[in-house]
Order: sequence, then structure tokens, then C-alpha cells
Amino acid sequence: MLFGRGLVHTTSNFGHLGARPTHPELLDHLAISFIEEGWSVKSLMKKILLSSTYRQSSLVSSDKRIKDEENKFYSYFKRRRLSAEMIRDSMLAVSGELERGDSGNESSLISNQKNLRRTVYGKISRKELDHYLALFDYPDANIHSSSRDKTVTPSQKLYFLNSSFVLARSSAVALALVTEDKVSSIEKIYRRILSRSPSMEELSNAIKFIRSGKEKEKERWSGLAHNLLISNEFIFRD
Amino acid sequence: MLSRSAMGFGTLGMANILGRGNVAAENSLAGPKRDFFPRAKRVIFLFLNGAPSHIDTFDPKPNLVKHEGVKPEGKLFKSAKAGFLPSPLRFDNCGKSGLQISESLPSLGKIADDLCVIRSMHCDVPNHEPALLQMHTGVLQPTRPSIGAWALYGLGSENENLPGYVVLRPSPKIVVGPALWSAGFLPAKFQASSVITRDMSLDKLLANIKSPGSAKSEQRQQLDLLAKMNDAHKKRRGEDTVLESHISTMETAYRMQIEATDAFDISKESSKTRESYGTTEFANSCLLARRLAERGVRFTTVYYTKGSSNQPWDTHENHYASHAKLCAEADKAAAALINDLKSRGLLEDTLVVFGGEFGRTPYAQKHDKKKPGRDHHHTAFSMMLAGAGLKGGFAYGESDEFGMNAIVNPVHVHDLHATILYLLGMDHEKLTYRYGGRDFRLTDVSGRVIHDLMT
Repeated sequence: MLFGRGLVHTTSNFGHLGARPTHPELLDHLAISFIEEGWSVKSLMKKILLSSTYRQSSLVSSDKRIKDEENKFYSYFKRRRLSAEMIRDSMLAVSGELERGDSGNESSLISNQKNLRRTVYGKISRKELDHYLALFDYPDANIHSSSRDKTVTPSQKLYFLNSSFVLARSSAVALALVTEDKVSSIEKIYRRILSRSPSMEELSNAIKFIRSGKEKEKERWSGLAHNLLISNEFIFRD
Repeated sequence: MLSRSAMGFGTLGMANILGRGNVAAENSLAGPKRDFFPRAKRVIFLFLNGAPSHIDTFDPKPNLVKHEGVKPEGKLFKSAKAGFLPSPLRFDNCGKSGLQISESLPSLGKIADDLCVIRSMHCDVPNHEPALLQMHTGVLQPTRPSIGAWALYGLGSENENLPGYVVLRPSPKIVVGPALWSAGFLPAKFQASSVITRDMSLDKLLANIKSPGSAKSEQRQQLDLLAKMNDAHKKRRGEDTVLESHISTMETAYRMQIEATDAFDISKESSKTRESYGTTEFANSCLLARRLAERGVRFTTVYYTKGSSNQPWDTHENHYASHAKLCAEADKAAAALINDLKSRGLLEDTLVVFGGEFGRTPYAQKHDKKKPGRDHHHTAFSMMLAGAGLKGGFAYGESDEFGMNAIVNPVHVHDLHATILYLLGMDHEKLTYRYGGRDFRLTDVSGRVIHDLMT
């Protein structure tokens, strides 16, 4: 989950027939300090997340890449798509609609449009996995699954393009941020969704987009927000 | 590398489904690899939920008449409350081959020379849930990959703009449910796309296929802007095949909006064609299956469920009244499908399978003497196949004179699965996937290919 690959590659099999750990001393060190620090998962996570290994960039030169194609040596951050939960939660967070409340009973099914809580609170049916979750590689709830795929399928992209969930979030962003000032609105949308300012080129492209087309301007603003929500930049951990 | 490399033949066969760009975490080598010359490129499974009666359809048992009322023998059947109930139906010699098919299936009777019937099927449990799972996944319990998922895993899809494995059902109610078409431990992309066909209007059939707001041109403009953005994002990061695949898949999705809406639109068929299938939900689904098959969908299952019943063929009561109605619909649609495939030159490389999870008892179920039912029966039943270069007008295997047990050339579900994979060009023993420390396959540790079915 953190690095894209465990120290033992065969996450379902830590036994004789499984893989050896790639960094046995590190594994021992983490295991021992985990026990010594009172078996706290939070401490372990904090230790890992603050390490310089985790904080590496995903930008890597091609010759460096060749030397460590599979990131066996953890020499760079492995860029990957967000999980199902992360995508949904992030969209709700940036649209400002995420319902807080980190405790309590389970919510209704995730695909229920009225459900705006974090995905982790959603109801999971073993018999018929929620369509959204299935779309983004949530594993079958009847069997154990030690890792998740990070697939890319047209059905996912269709969800991004046409689903009422994503479209609703796009409208919400536009509604919240757009004012008369086009430049400032574009800046705000970029900052809200991508945590950065648009480049000069992006700004001018966006203005062109808002001004053109036969749709009402309101729709164009939603369209811009929509693009950012389904952009690779947003859906990737980078 | 490690355990992924032990995936066996399947890795080589794994073409990218729904787009070549699906590189990501999987090993992906282009193009399916086959062990044998494939006789079928695609499969359409017409599934009769609840289980049809074999002695009233494909397996004539005239000798039952003299045993009428006699209770069956043997430990397995000692709980039988009523005696043998011969079929009142006439079995004609159909086609040039003289293959005997019941009068309940007249349209199929007319094309008997295209049909290959297995009369010696058997499975392990006479209950719906385990038998359904066994017929779909090879195993009595969930959750293993279904046969369609295995086929897709081995061969990939021929059309990147459509799902490779589709399940068509008139109603959401179905016994067992999505476990029947799941990918199990195979990558999730091999599970079926399930489509409810009760309402054939396009936006009801496929989720998110239509852009609710904008017109095509507006959407294109928006996507062009997105493409610029994604392209710049990718360039800043150097070579990245994963990002590229996301970009190309977005384009595939855009095209799918058009292609899938075309594929799923049966209103495009002529009224003559619509009439030949019938206009029932099952008939519409069969017609849709043909459209999907000719567009490269690898595996399509059509379920026979009704709004009122999720297993209409499960006739424990008043068997003959239901049987006649069910057969009328199924017979017309199945025969129309086979004829339609044939006239389009598709039958020779399409495998059509027609049957349920088991058969029905040759003895009555004691409910109503005047309107008797038939109970579940798993030790002998029939399966009808067509296409894929199989022998036509041919019956393989035999059950005993009572229709109780498969005695000549018994065909277990595993054998049927092995044969289907063989027809698709794959060795069922080599199509494996490593999970939980061992190699799995559809036929697990069983299955033999029935070569005698093939020309």
C-alpha cells in the first residue's frame, strides 16, 4: 500500500515456498521496533512515512530506471493509481461535500447517491459487490486478498466520463468556486483539486474552453472541474 | 517475478482485455496463444435456470411406460415418494440423421442435423446452488473463476471496445448470483459485465454509456482539453507506460460510447429477425447475444429467468404445463439464434451450449397426482451443443432405460469444461493460475476432452 510492493513479494505466502524478503535486515529492524514500541501500527506507519525512502520523488531518469525497473531497491516512488476508496473520498473532499463523522454505523451502499460519507463506512455485500468498488479493483469480499490490482479499463473511464457521482462533484466544485473573475476562478479550481496553480498555458487553454462552445457557461465550468477530477494527475499518487 | 512467473500458460494467453493499454500491474503479452487449433472463437451459453427435464427434451425413454408407477431403486433414490412418470411427449426422428428430439422443441427438431446432444451428463450434487457453481466454475462452493473468466484469461477479447465476457439476464433475481460469473482469484478484469435485459433501452442496459448532459461535440472538446493536460503531465514525468495506457483507455471509452450503443441496440434488427426469435425477454437476450458474438465478445451467457421466477425451469409442481410454455420460448429463440449464426457464417466458429445445471427426475414428485412435478436429478441429464465443428445430428452417451444414471460414456461437468476449452484451442491442464500457493485450473484435477463429439 505504501510502496507498491512489500519486502516479501508474495504477500499471501510468507512461508518456505514464498519469496525471500528483499531487505531482510530492514524487515527485522521494523519488526523489532514494532514490538518494542508497543505494537503500535500508528508508530510504525509514522516511521515509514517520514523516512526518506518514502519521500522520494516518482520522477526518475531513464538510466536510473533501467537499473531498477521493478523498484526492487526502492530507489524511487512508484507512481500508481489511487484505490477505489481514495478516488471517491478525494472527489468528495475537494468538492467540499464529504460528510464527516469518523464513527458510527455503516452507511448504505457506496453507489447510493445520497451516501457522502467516506468509502470505508460503506456497506459491503458479499453476494453482489458494489458496482463502483468492483470497477476499481476492490477484491471479492468472499476470499482473502493480500494485494489489489491497479487496473485501467474503459468501464472505469466511462464511469469518470458519465456517472452521476462524478458529474455531481464537478458541478459542486464549480458552484462553490466560480465567480465573475474567470482567471481567479480557474486558479481556485486548480488549487482546490490539484493543490497547485495552473501554468500560463493551462490558464489560457482553460479560458478558451470556458469561452467556446454552445453550452451555457455554467456547464463549461463544470466541464473544467470535471476534467481535473478525472485527470491522471488527480487519480494518481505521484 | 517470483510467483507471478508461475502463472503457467495463462500468462502467455493474456491479451489485454478492453484495450491494449492495460499494462499496469499485470504481465501482458500481446495476442492469445493456443495449444490446439481452435474450432471456436466464441461461446454462447443459453442457460435454463432451474434445470430442464432431460427425458422430456433430448433423452427419449420409451421403456418407462412399462415401469410407470414403480419406485426407483437404489440408496440414492430411496426417498422417492412417487413412481416413474413416463414422458407423454412424442419423440420424432429429426433431420436426416434421425436424432430423436421431443415434440416440445419443434424448431430445434427442424435443425437436428446441426445439433450435438450429450445424453450422459452428470454432476455431483442435486441442489441448485452447488450445481450452478459447479456448472459455472467447476467447484461446488464459491468463489472460483467462472468458465467465461477462464476463457477470457486464456484468450483475451477480440474487440477492445466491448466487454469480453457478458452475462445477459432478464431479471436481477438469479440463484447464487454474481459468483456464477466472477473472476474469482483471477484479475478482476476477467469477470463478466452483467446486463439486465428486461428493459432493452440502451441506457438501462449499460452503466454510464451515455453522456447525460453534453452533446458529442461538446464532450469531444472537453476531452481534447483533458488529453492536452494528461499529455503534459506524462511528458513532465518521462516515459511511463502506465500513464500512456490511462490516456489511450480514455479514448477507448469515448469510442465505446458509440460502439457499445450500436452493439446493444437490437432495434437495429429487421422485423423478420425479431419475429424469428420471438419477443420474449429470453428471445431479446438471445438476439443480443448474436450481436455481441459477431462483434467479438468472447463468452456470452444468456440466463433464462423471468421476472416472477429466478428459476422457471425448476418444475416441482405441475411440470407439464410449465414445461410446454418454457420450451416454446426457449426452442424458438435457440433455434433462431443457431440459424442466424449459421446464415452469417458464424456457426462454424461459435460454440452454442443449451442446458441447465442438472436434469429432472424420471419419477414423479409427489405433490399432485393430476399435475405431477419432477424433482432435481443429477446422475443423468442432457446438454445440447451446436457449432464449433461438432458432429451434427449426433447423440453422445446414454443413460439407462429409466433415464436415471449415465451409463454409456458418462460426461461429468469437468469433462464438458475440458471439451469447451479444447474447442477454444486451449489445454485445460495448462490453463492455470497460481493462487494461495498452488496452481488452479477450471477443471481442477479432473476433466477429459470428449473428442468423439468433434468432426
